[in-house]
This record gives sequence, C-alpha cells and structure tokens, in this order.
Amino acid sequence: MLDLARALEQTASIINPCVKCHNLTSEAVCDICQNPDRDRLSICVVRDVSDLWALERTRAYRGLYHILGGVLSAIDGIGPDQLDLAGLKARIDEYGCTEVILALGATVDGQATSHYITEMLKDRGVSVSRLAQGVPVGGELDYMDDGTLITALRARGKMAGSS
Amino acid sequence: MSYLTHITLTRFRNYTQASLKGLERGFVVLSGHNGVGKTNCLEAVSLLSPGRGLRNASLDDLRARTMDNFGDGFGNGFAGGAAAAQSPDSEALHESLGNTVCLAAKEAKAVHNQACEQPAIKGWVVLSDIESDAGAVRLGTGEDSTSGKRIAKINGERVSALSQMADYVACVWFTPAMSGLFTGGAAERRRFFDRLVFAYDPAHAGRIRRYEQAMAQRARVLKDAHHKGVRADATWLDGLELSMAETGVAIAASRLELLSLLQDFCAMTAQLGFPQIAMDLVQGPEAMLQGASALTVEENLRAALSESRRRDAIVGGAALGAHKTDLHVVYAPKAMEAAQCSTGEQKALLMGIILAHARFIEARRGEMPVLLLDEVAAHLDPRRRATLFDILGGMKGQVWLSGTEHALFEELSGKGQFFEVANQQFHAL
Repeated sequence: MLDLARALEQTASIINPCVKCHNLTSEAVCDICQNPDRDRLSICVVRDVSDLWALERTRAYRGLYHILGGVLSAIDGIGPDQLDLAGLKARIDEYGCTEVILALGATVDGQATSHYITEMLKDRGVSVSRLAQGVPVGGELDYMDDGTLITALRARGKMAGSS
Repeated sequence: MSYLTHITLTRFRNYTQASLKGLERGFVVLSGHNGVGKTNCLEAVSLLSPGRGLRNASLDDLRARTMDNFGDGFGNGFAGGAAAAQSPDSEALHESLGNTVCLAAKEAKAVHNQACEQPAIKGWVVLSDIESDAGAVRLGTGEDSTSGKRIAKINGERVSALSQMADYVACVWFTPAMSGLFTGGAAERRRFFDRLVFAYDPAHAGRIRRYEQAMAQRARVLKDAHHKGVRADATWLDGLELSMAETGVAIAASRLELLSLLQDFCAMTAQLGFPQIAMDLVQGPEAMLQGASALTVEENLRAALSESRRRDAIVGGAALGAHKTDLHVVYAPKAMEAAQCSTGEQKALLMGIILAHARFIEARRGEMPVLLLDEVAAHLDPRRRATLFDILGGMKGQVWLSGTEHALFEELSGKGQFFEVANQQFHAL
C-alpha cells in the first residue's frame, strides 16, 4: 500500500495540464502538441482528458486537441467564463486553423456548448463541424427510434465518388 | 405475452423481504387491510418498467424504514450481513444480480456489522422473472448502494439505461390517486398520457428527459442573469432553445401519433360497455403540428421562446412548449367535459382509456402490458365491475388487482391466483 501511495504522490507531483491544450503531461507541452506530424490546421474540441484518450485510441484523427474542461451547465455553475474558450480562439488564430471539430457528446449541455462555440467562431473563417450522430455501425434502420433516424437524416453525408 | 412468474421485494417500503412465486398469466389478486402493503407490491411491479413507478416516488421513499439484515442491495462490495448468509432467497437474489460474493467476505462483513452495531448501507431491490414469447428473463432493479442511484440488471448484467427494461415488460396502472386526474392540474394529465406513449415508444422518456434538462438549464441561465441584474447570454440561450424546440416537436409528434392510433381502440372499448371517449391534446405544440411541417413548428417555437425570455426570467419556467400540453377528455355521448362528469363516470372514463391503451399495446407489440389496478373494484357499480372483469379476463395478459375485501373479487374465483397480504408477507388463499 505504501509503495502505491508513494507512486501516486510522485505521479501527482510531476503531472500537470499542457499549457496549450490542457491534456495531462509531465512536461509543459504535451506529446500531441509537440508532435510535428500532427495537422496544426485542425483542432478537435473535447470536454475532458478521457474524451481525448477515447479519440486517440481510434488513431483516426491526426490533428490537435483542445480540452474545454467541461461543458456549459448553468445548473452546475459552469458558464462560458469557466471554459477555456479564449484559449481556443487564441490557438485558432496562432495556427491559422481551417477546421474545428466539436466532439462534445449528444447531451443537452454538449449541444448547447457546440452551438455556443459555433456562434463564437462564426466570423473567423474556420470550418466548424461536429461528430455525426445517428445510425451506429451495424445498425438496422428497423430498430432505430424516430429521434435517432431524424438526427441521422439531418446529418447525412455524401457517398465518396458521388457528384 | 409477457407476465411475471416470480417477484421478490427486498428492503422495499414496508417489506424486509417477501416473495410471490409460481405466478401465472390471468388475475393476481391481493387482498388485505389498509396499510398492509398491497399498493407497495403493485408499485414494485411498476418499477420493472422504467420511470418512477405508480406513485412517482423518489428513491428515498422506496427504501425500507426498518432495520434489516439482508445485505447491500445492488452494491458491488460486500453483499450481506449474517442473515444474508442464512437466507437462500437472499443468496439467490444477489447471485442472480451478478454480485460475486465469497462467504469469507460475508462473514467479515457480519463481524464488521456486529462490531459497529450499525447496519450496512442498504438499498432496496425488486427482482422478478418474466416469461415472454421471447423466453424467460430475469429483471432486477434497485438502488445502487455505492452511487445511491437506481440501476437495472437484465439476467444479472447491469444495463446502461433503465429504458432497456421496456424491451421485456410494459406496465400500465390505475390507482385511486388517479381518480382526480380530470379535475386536477394539467401536469398530471400530461404525465399520464406520456406514460401511455412511453409504453409503446420507449424512446419517448428520453426525449422528455432531454426537453426538461434543456428547459431547466434555460431557466437557470435566465434566473441567474435576472438576479445579477445583467443581460442573459443570448448565444447560450439560443442553443438551449434550439434543443427545446427540436425535442419538443419530437415529443408532440409522438403524442399525436398515439392519440390517433388510440381512437379506434377507444371505440372498441366503448362497444364493450365503457363510455365513449373523445380525446384531444391542447395548449401545446400538438395543435401547431396538425397544420404545419415539423421544421416550421420548430422554428416558430424557437422564435416564441426567444420572445418570452423577459417574462420567463421573472416568472420562471417557459411560457410555452411541450411541457404545457394538456389532455382534454370528453364523455362523448353527453358531450360533457370529463371534469364535469360524476366521480363514477370519471373513473369509468379513465378505465376506458387504460383498457383501450392495453388493447392497443397488445395489438402493436403482440404482448399485453401487465395491468396494475389498485382498488379498482371499490367504486364501480356491480354492472360495471362485472363488465370490467369480463374485459380484463378476455385480454389474456396478467392483471394485478388489489382491494381490502376479498369478496369484491369472488366472481373471479377459478380465474386467477389469490393472496392475502399480512405481516409483510403474501399468503396464498
């Protein structure tokens, strides 16, 4: 037990948030932000570190991240001032980003936050998208509820190769 | 057809632990004095479907108030005190719920409890075996002693959402408290109708929850700004009102769909002797949806919510939306509003809707919902009571009835199972 406690204490003393994206790191800037192979024109906005790790596990995204530290929730006392929105704007300007991906979950609070950021970035000439919602991989339409189907229909995408 | 073959209540309201076993489809009749726990048992059955059950109770209300000896509910740590190790029912219960328990752990906990002279943290559990066309399934729901939240398990596996229980059993109920449905407030009628929608479209509950979350967040943003004397963040409110409008229209569309589908079944029930009913949904976005596209109604709702911010900041809530809908019911032959009808007529109207809905669910899902009718026979005249029992008997589902007098159910003799409730146990008659 004491070894575990010491290990936890040591880890806690060297781990801190990345000054750029707020990912956890033992240095000032995290591996992702330091990696020259990451696409600096794209920023994916997530709620917390666990969401970043979930996306990283897929190895499907090669851009940068920005951790907000929560989502808007008046009931929990989290307003725009409690989220790092200023940092997001500053990084978009610094890197000259062309794309912002909002990966904030399909909850009411996640959607309100997505809406807020979309409005905030409206005049910045950056493309803002959010994760698709709707039919899961392997899903049959017969089994979908109306809400999911409507969302999927609204978020429909063009097939590759179509005009 | 789905029906319960067994149910065990543990630390649930007045029950420390009690079971009903060998249940069959048809009538399950509970009789006993006032306050012995008949309604508590029906409530436990109602909790096998998602939602807060037939009393709309909080988790705290459902917890037994007495000291007991039967372990930690759904907790995943220690699973029992001394009595748990000695009780085969409790043992089976916890094993079925997927708790991995070793005897040494139980003994350690028993020693711990004795040493501390305090009961373990305890949650209530309702466990049932359900027989359906798809086969047998074991459903459990209860309070997680770790998180204090209600959870559900299906065949011992914890599920991520209570709504998943709706795939196995649907419950529809009538309680004496509902007798005042037509004379009470619109909120109660709306909740009643939403439960009917939910029994055929389980996603409806999620939409309502989402709508209420958005409305609560909007109200807080407005209230906070009002108290600080500053202007509320318009962009934040826009996002929340967008959610309210989108979800509100989806809720209204589901309600309208059920209303339309239910009309034919109301007519069929009227032919069997119950009053002919005319129903409509008023005061909400449903009327707007009958004359415009969903997208137009969404846009109109958003605009109207935006307009009402100043008023809502002062008054609270939201001036309009799916939370304002009221169920309007008319006793058709008399063209009389339900609220103006006699007490007996109101009860007959309500039973007519419930029976029509049960038949609709049977036609739609191929399975009758489990009907829970608390003290339903008490205020019906003998003719209507006989008609009711005839209709219920012809439905081929499981119908739970309760009453203080066994004599009220004598004409069901040979058609069901009868239990007397006394001393927190069920005794077969």
